[in-house]
Amino acid sequence: MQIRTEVNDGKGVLTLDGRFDFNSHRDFRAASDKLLEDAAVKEVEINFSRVEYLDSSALGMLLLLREKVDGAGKKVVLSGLKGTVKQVLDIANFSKLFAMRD
Amino acid sequence: MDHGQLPVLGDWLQAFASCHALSPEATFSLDLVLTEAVTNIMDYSRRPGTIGEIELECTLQDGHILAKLMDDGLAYDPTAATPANLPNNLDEARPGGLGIHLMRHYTSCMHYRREHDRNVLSLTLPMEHARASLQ
Repeated sequence: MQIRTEVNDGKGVLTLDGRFDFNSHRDFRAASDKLLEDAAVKEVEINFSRVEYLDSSALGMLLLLREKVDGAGKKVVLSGLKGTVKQVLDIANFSKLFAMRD
Repeated sequence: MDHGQLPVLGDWLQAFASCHALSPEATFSLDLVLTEAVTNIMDYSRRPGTIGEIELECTLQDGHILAKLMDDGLAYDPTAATPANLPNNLDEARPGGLGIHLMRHYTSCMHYRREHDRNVLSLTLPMEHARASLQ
């Protein structure tokens, strides 16, 4: 999975591209930790518009991110959800845990 | 096999999906179910210090995908796993069990048996299940 990072006006956006699975663990953690360490970033947005696959490994990474975001006093938003990717998040009840936007 | 071998499964799956002209939704479902099942075998069934072998058979029949996974590891029955408690808030959220929960959602039947010191897991996926769920 490729991860592109953009920071603008207090918002850090991680745009994920490809398969979000076990093999993404190291890159996702590194990219998200970097945003969380940036004092200028108040909100972290994870953009799923280019994600073609995710599984329970990805769900675990998102739960871990949510804990870290709360600990850092920031917010997290999931965006660009559609099709099977949105379906998996819905099945896992993640709409109760994460703010989501188009 | 270890997790680093998962791309082997992915390559096989893409070839299978292409050969049988599976829809993107059916391919996604099969990918997810097999990845979760194989990951569980690697994590819970493989004997410590051994390499282990996993065999996979996959056929299409009457609008269903029939997948059978066989391994020579320790007895492990994923169908007996306690269902995940779906979280209503962050305090309740636990990563464990979500893989089994997803497997149950995308299959119409999961059957396990222990046979000749091998785990045999049979999975049935409706080919149009994912497409119907999205409508």
